Amino acid sequence: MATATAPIVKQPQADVVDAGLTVQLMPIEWPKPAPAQMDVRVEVGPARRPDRILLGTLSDQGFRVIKPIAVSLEVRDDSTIASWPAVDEFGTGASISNAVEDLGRTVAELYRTLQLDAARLGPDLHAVWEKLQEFVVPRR
Amino acid sequence: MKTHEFEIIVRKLGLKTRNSGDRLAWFEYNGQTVVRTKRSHGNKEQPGDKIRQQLKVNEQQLSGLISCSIELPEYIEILKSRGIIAQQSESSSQQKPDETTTPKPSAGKP
Repeated sequence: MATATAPIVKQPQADVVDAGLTVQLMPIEWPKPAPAQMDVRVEVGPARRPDRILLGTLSDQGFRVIKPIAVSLEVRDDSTIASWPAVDEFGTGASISNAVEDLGRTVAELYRTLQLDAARLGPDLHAVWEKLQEFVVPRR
Repeated sequence: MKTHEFEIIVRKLGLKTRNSGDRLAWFEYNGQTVVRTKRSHGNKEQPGDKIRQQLKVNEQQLSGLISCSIELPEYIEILKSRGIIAQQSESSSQQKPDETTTPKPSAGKP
């Protein structure tokens, strides 16, 4: 039969707990937060839109951009125009991202069209076709 | 540029068109595709200056294309003067589809 080992912490006897000890609830006063600084003003100016970005991907997943495309951005009335002046191509949309997305689709469409007609392009479109291939390649 | 003005140019120059995400249009001369342009679908205002650059004309010439002052033969001359139409392609080809569709000169029109 195993013998009981002495406890590490000795608990007081029950008669000690009952010996006149009471619990009293006391209100605690938490520190109050500092009053708001009403005289601090933050001025937020109109967000400065970029007028130029470097495009690294096309919205058409069939193509990969191998050289960043310098895209000009213009906001006109209720639309934004993203253009790639080097190839005279542009996209439009209600926002910068929409316009850039449209440009990406247009560039992909242009690539496919010029690729099909490569043998019968005029000198200007032939130059566009060569420029396009410097920046964009089809994904395998 | 209004959508209907774009369509005036399409008809006047006999541009070939294809509807994709946008309405694509291109001009062919002597079997070569020489310029291309596009407009978005719907009746939204089109960026005339971008379309003008794609058509290789200046502002006055674009106005002429929309109105009656510049017709297909004049447009071809503009493209030739800018080197957009190769001179060799003109002399090497016997068949010019444009000649059959060339509108009459616009003399007498307002």
